[in-house]
Amino acid sequence: MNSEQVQLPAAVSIRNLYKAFGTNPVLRSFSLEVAAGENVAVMGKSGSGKSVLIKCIIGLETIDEGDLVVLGKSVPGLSPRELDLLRADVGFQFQGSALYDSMTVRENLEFPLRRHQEKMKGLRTDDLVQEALSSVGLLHAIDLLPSELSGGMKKRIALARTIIMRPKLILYDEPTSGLDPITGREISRLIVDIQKQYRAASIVITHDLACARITGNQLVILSEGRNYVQGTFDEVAGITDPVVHSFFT
Amino acid sequence: MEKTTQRTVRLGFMVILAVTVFTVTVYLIGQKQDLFRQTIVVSVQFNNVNGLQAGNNVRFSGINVGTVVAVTILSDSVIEVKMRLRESVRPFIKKDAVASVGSDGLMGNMLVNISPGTPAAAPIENNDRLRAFSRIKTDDILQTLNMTNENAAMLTHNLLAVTEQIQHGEGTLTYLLYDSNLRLDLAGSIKNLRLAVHQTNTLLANVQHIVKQAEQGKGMVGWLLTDTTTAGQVAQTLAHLDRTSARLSQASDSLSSFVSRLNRDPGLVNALLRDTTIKTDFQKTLRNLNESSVKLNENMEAMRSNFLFRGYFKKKEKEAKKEQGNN
Amino acid sequence: MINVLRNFFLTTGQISQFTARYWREVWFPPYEFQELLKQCFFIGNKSLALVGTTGFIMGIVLTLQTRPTLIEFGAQSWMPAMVGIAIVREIGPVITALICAGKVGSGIGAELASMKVTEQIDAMEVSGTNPFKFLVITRVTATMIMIPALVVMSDVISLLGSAMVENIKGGVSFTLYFSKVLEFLDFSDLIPSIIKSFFFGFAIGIIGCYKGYTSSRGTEGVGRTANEAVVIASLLVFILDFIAVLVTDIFYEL
Repeated sequence: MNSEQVQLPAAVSIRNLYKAFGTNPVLRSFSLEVAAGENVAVMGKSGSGKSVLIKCIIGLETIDEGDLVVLGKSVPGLSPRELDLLRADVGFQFQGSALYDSMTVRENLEFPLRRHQEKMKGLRTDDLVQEALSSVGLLHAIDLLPSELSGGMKKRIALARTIIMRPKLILYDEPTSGLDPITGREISRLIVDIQKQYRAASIVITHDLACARITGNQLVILSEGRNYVQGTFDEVAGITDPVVHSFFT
Repeated sequence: MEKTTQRTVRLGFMVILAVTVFTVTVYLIGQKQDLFRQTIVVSVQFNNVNGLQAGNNVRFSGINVGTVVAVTILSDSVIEVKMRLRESVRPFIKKDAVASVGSDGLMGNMLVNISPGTPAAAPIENNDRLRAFSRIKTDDILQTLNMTNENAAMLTHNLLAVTEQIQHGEGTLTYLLYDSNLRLDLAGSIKNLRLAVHQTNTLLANVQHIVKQAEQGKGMVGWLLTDTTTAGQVAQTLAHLDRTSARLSQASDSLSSFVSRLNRDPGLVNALLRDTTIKTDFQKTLRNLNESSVKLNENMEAMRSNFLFRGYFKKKEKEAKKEQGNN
Repeated sequence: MINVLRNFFLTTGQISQFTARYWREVWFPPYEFQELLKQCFFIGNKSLALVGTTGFIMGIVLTLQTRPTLIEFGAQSWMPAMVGIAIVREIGPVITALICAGKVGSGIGAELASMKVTEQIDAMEVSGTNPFKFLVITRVTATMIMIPALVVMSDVISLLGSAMVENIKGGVSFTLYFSKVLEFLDFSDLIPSIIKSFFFGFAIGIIGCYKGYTSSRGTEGVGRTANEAVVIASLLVFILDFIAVLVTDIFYEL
């Protein structure tokens, strides 16, 4: 592990993360290491703090205690400007796609490019949009409004918007929620494809077993606010702990 | 979390408080503009304030310098008005300044007017009392005005009547103004007067001539003066004359006393004038005169019908007719 | 009771913080001019018909209602002055602000609330765009610019309606009517009313944005947010109007 860290700094390194809302702790003493290029699927019950975890990683939520290092930078100590720069390297796929309703698909995809032009210097916006859309196979939808898209298409467009910045780390929040199993599987495969294409590390938050199996090199069960179990899908599936077992039945 | 909520609640409370204080302050400033200025308080006592209220303006030579703070009744005929004035006008208002209650236009609010006072006097101090000038109430002014108006109306009415009369040719003034005969008469009189003066001149010349002759013993006068026989007759005549003049004097004396008696007792004249018997006598005389003129007419008629004169009258009529026909 | 009061102060405090944040951030780049223009277009263009119709009707109704009384006093010739001053000083700004509180305020509230619920605001933040600048500052600034413009429009259209009534009922020509209105109005009528329109616009924008930006009760919260935005904004319009009249009183001695 140590040798690997020297070679490639971990994409995400979390130690003893504590986060509470009011007097109600959601995450207590959570720890996780995500190596560069690694795919980690995080499973947990509703309200277990999965979404909070990745929002802490991207800086949408502030942590109360613990260490949180993303792409070599300690998130809690970042200035807004530095946080913006960090976010240019981190993609975030929201649960409900979060496409901007008032904008067309093209404008949605162009939106992240507005602020991160120094990173994308020398690249034409149109080319980037085309490239991202073809990655998700929806080039024909470029001038549609989000309201004209189906749920699966929205997820793909959201994915395209996430990868347009060529992130080094992609965070997925329930990428398959609200989709039928077939479409969900397509999305899961797409995630894996993209991960290979862009060589990005990724954390996939899900409660969908199929998605977790397809996308995750590693599987983490989040329970009681901490990293309950971590291992490959097959390793975790073999554990007989009642909490872990409840996910597989 | 709980702590920030508490802080936010406190912030909200402060904001509401600040807005309230701001609003109230603004309201008060709007009410009386003197809230934050340095002010002095002076008072004045009136008999009647004509509805002056707290909050009314105080004017100094027409400039708003403050407001009435309070109107209080001190006794049945004394009302004290307290006023808050700007400190900056204090040097201009002297100790002997006079305050009066006025109004801002016919339907406007009441206000207190302060007139400056004499320049030599010292400026007023805080809590000074100004002298009051009770202005006549508007009603009184209006009443006086009304009387004046009525008189003026009457005057113009009379004037109108007079001018009308003049225009229509009545009265002495008209005669003077419009009658051309009068003018001619006047001119004539003046001419006569001139003539008279001229004649007097010649007369005087004659007299001078006579006197000269008399001196030389020539002429009638000379003869009279020089002849001794006639002199005695003349003396006699003169004595007669003297007597006559004495009697005349007597008569005039008694006349004078009579007139003075009349003057002293006007009743006498009145009695004479009002005496009914005289009046009736006079009337009788008039009636008789009337009767006699009627009778004369009758005589004339009779004369006309008399055959001796008929021919003459008929001829006259014919001539008249002929003339008419010619016309 | 104490809870109600506490909530009231809490909301006031949060709105104050929100307002303070607006004034802190409005000066610094990045400026979202494109979005500002877009919002101005939306707010101005989409409210114009509504504001115009309301203003026109207000002008007609006000004139019809006051005509009999003025005729009784033999003062019909004062109609342009009276209606002009009433509309320019008070009715134009307040009616326009209330209409915009209903239309623009609720629109902003609902839009931001739904963006909040569907994590679009988070998505913006993640995309390196400051959502406060992109959403709140542009919208509040846009209402602040456009409400006074709409007020002026509404004033003119109201006076047109009033002039129409006078033309039909009293045989007053439009030229005469407007020259009379202009004769009686001066800047002490217009400027305070324009200034207070800025405040109305700011209040409408900031309340809509605050309510939407802090909405957190899921989809059903969107409707509630829109409703609350309208209620609070309308109330604020009246409170601001009251304060504005008091302040104007000081400066112009009405």
